[in-house]
Amino acid sequence: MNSKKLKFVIGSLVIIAAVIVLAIQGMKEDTTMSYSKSVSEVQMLGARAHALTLKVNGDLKKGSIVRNNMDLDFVITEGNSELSIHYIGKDPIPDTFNNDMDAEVIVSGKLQQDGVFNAERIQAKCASKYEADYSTPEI
Amino acid sequence: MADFGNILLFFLFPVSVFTALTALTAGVTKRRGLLEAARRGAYAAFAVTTLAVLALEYLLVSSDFSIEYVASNTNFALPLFYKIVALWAGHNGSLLLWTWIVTIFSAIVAYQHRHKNNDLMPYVLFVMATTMVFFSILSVFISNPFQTLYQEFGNTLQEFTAGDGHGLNPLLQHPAMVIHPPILFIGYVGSVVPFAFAIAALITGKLGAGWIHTTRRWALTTWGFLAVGIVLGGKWAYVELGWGGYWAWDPVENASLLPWLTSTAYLHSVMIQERKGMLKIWNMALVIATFLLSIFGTFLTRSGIVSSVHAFANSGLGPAFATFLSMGLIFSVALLLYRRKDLKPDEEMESLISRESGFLFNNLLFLLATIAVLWGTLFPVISELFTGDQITVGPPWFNNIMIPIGLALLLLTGAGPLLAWRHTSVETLKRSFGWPTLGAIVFIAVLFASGVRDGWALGSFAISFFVMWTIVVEFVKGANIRRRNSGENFFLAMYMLSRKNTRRYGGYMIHAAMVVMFVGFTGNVFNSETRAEVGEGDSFQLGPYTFNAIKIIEDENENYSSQTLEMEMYRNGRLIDRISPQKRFYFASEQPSTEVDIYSTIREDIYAVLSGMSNDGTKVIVQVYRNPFVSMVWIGAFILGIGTLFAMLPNLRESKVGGE
Amino acid sequence: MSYFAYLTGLAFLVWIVMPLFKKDSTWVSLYMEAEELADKKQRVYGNIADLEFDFAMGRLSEKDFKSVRQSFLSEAGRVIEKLENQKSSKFMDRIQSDMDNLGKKKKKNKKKSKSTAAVFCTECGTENIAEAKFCMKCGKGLS
Repeated sequence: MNSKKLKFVIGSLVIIAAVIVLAIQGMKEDTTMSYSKSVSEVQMLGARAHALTLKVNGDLKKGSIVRNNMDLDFVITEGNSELSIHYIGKDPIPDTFNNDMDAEVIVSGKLQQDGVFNAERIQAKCASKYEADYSTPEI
Repeated sequence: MADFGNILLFFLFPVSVFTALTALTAGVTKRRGLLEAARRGAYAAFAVTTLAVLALEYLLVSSDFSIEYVASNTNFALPLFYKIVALWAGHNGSLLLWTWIVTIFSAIVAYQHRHKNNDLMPYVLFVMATTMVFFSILSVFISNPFQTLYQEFGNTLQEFTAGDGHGLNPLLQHPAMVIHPPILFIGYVGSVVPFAFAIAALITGKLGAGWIHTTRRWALTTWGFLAVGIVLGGKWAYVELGWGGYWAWDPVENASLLPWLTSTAYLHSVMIQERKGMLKIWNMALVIATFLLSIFGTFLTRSGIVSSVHAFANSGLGPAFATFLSMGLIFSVALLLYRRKDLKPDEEMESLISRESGFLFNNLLFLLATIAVLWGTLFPVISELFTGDQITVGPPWFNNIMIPIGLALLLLTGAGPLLAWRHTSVETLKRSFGWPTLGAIVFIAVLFASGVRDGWALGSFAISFFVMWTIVVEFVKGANIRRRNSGENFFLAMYMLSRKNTRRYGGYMIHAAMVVMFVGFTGNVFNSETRAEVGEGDSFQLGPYTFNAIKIIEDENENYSSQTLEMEMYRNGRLIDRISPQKRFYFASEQPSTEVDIYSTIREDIYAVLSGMSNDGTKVIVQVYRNPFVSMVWIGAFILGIGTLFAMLPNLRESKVGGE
Repeated sequence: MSYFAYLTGLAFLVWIVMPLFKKDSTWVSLYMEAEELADKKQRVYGNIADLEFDFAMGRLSEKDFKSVRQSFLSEAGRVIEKLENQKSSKFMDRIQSDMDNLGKKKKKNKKKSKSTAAVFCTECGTENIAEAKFCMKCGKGLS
C-alpha cells in the first residue's frame, strides 16, 4: 500500500470509528432504548422490569380512563393481566384516546415500585375502524 | 365499473409477463420484432393500468359502497376533492398508484429510446417489466382495490352495499397529505429507471459512462421528488399530528430517508466516475441500493414488521415483498461479482486535499448515515433475533449519530467545491478558505455575545454561515470573471454563467437550500412550550407572548362537529394576531382530530394545540409551542426543488464563447 | 361492461403480439471499444473544461494549471489518435460483419425467397433497404 492510499484509509477509519463510538455510546443510554413487551410479559419480567424503559402494548380497558385536570390515568389489559398507567408526558394525548374506543395502546415509560406504570408517551391505534363493522344497508 | 377495472387490471399481469419475456429474448437474439413487441408491451401495460385507475376513480367519485376500498376510505359527505385523492388513502389504492407510476415510467422510457440504445433497451424493459409483474401480482391477487364487500348472512357470505362509507381518515384530510404520497412514490418508483439501466449495462457489459448519461435526468428528478416528498411528509406530520415537531425518526420516515441518502451519495460519486473513471462498482452498488431501499421503504409501510404511526395495518404483503427484495438483491450482487473485473478503476486517487477526495469522504459519510438509519430502524427486529427482546431505539440515538454526520456533510458542502480536482496546494487553500473561515469565527463570536450557548447550535450556525459565504462567492466571482470578458452587466453575467453550466450552479442552489434547511433543523435547540388550562377570559404566557382566551366555540357541519378556542396573541404587549386551535369529531369515521393553528414567521412558529376538555367541561387544555426557524425547513425544500429543476435545464450553448 | 373490458384487454394483447409475426431483422451491436474511447474523450474534455474553470476561480496555481493542462492535452491527443485508428479498423470490421450478415441473409432468402435484409453501403456504412440502388447518405451505388 502506498502512502497516498494509506492516508485515505486512515482518514476513513477515523471517521468510521467515530461513528461506531457514537452508535455504541447512544445504545448505553437507557432512555433511548425501550423494550417492547405486552402486559403479561411485563409481569413475567419481575424485578428486572423496574430497571428498563419499556414499551408496553395492550388493549385499553373500556371506561378506565380518568382525567383529573391535566393528569390522566387508565388501565390496559391483555387477557387476564392488567396494568395501571399514569401519564406523565408533556405531549397532547392522541385523538383516538377516549373511553368509547376499542383501541390498542402502546405506552412508553417506566414501571414504578408500586406497580403503576409512568408513561411518557402514549400511542393509540384504533383497532376496529378500518375493518368490517359497516353500517347496515338501507333497503 | 368495478368489473371493468378489475378485468383490465388483471390484464396487466399477462401483459407484463409477456413484456418481460419478449424483452429478454430480444436482448439475446437482437431481433427488432421482439424488441418492438416488448416496447408495445410497456405501452399496453400503461394503457390497461390507466383504465383501471380511471375505473377506481369513477367508483370513488360516484361513492359505490359495494366496493370495500371505496367504503373504507370515503363517505357521501366527503368533499369531491378528497374522494378523488382517496385513491392513495388506503393501502390497496396506493399500491395501485405505485403500479401505475411504474407503468407510466416504463412507457416513457420505452418511448424515449424507441430509436436508440437498442443494445441496452431489451434488458431495461426486462427489469421494468419484472417489477411490473411483481406489482401486478400484489394488486391483482393480494390487495385488489376492486374487492367487493361481503357480509355474513347466516352461514353464507353475500355481497352487499354499505349504507355509507367510513370516510377518509381525518388525519389524511390535509393538502400536504394529498400531494405527499404521489410525490414520494414518484421518487421511490423513479429509482427503477437508473436501476434498470445499470442492470442492463451489467448484463451487456457496456459499463462505460453511457448508462449514467442516459439516466442522469432520471436520477436527478427522482432525487428531487424524494427530497420534496420527505419534507412534505414532515410538513404533514407537523400540521396534522399535533405534537409540535416534524421528524421523529419513525420507521416509515426513515424508510423514505434511506433511498434519498444513497441517491444523494450517487449524484456526487458519479462525478468521480465521469472525471476519473473510478468508483464504477460503487456507483452501480449505489444505484442498486437506492432501488432496493425504495422497495424496502414501500415494504416497511405495509408489512407491519416495524410499527409506526404512518404504517398501514398489517396486510400480509410481507412474504411477497421479502421474496422480491431478496431476489433483486441476489441477482444484482451476482451480476456485480460477475463483472467485477471489467469495473476496475482507470485512475487512482492523487491527493487527500482534492475535489475527488471531498466526494469520497462525502460518500463515506452518506454510507455511514445509511447504515446507521437502517440499523436503528431495524433494531427491534435485529435485537429480537439475537436477544429475544424487541428493543426500539429512540430519537436520541438517531440524533446522537446523525447530527455529527449531518454537520460534517454540511461542512463538506462548503469545502468540497472550493477544492480543485486532483490536487489543491496549501497556498490556494488559504486563499479560498481564509475569509469564509474568519467570517464564520466572527459570526460565532457575535452569536455567543448575544446569548447563544448551545455548542451544537453554534457549530451548526457557523458552518451554515461558512457554506453560504462560499456559495455566494462562487456566483459572484464567476459572474465577475465573465463580465470582464464579455462586457455584460453583473446580473446578466450571473444568469449566463449559471445557464452555461446548469448542473454546477443548480447544484450550488441545492447546497444553499440545504444550508437554509439546516438552520431550520438547528432551530429545534431553542424550542420551548407551555401547557395551560383556560376558560374564557383566562390568559397565560410563553416567552414574550401573552395569550388571552376569548371564547370557546362549538360548531357543526355535515362532515364533523368542532370545538374551537379563540385566543388573542400579544407579543411584548402588542396584539399580533388571533390564534384558534380546534378539535374536530368526524361523524363517518367516528374519529376525533386535532386541528392545530400555527402563526408562522421566518423567525419562529407559534403552534397551538387544543388537547382536550377539563373535567367539568368549562375549561379547555391548550398546549402552545414556540419553534424557532421551522419555516426555514419548508423554504429550503422549495429552493431545493427550484435548484433541481434548474440543474435539469440543458446547458446554454453560445456561438461566440466570451470566456476564452 | 365486462365484455367491453375483455375486448379491450384482448385487443391490447393482440396489438403487442403483432410485431412477432412481422418480417424481422436483427440490429448490429455498437462497437464496444469505440464507445469506450468516446467515453474517454468526453472525460478528458470535461477535465480540461473543469481545470480552466478552477484556474479562473483561483483554485490552483498557474504552475499546477500549466503542467496538468499539458498532461490532459497530450492525453486528449492520444485518445483522438486511437479513435481515428479505431474508426478505420471498425470500418473494416463492419464491412466484414456486414458481408457475413449478407451471406447469411442470402442463404435464408433462398428458402424464403423474399428479401428482407438491409444493405450496408461500402463507402460509409449506412444501412439501406435491400431494394435500394444508391446509398441514401452518400449516394454511392449499391450492388
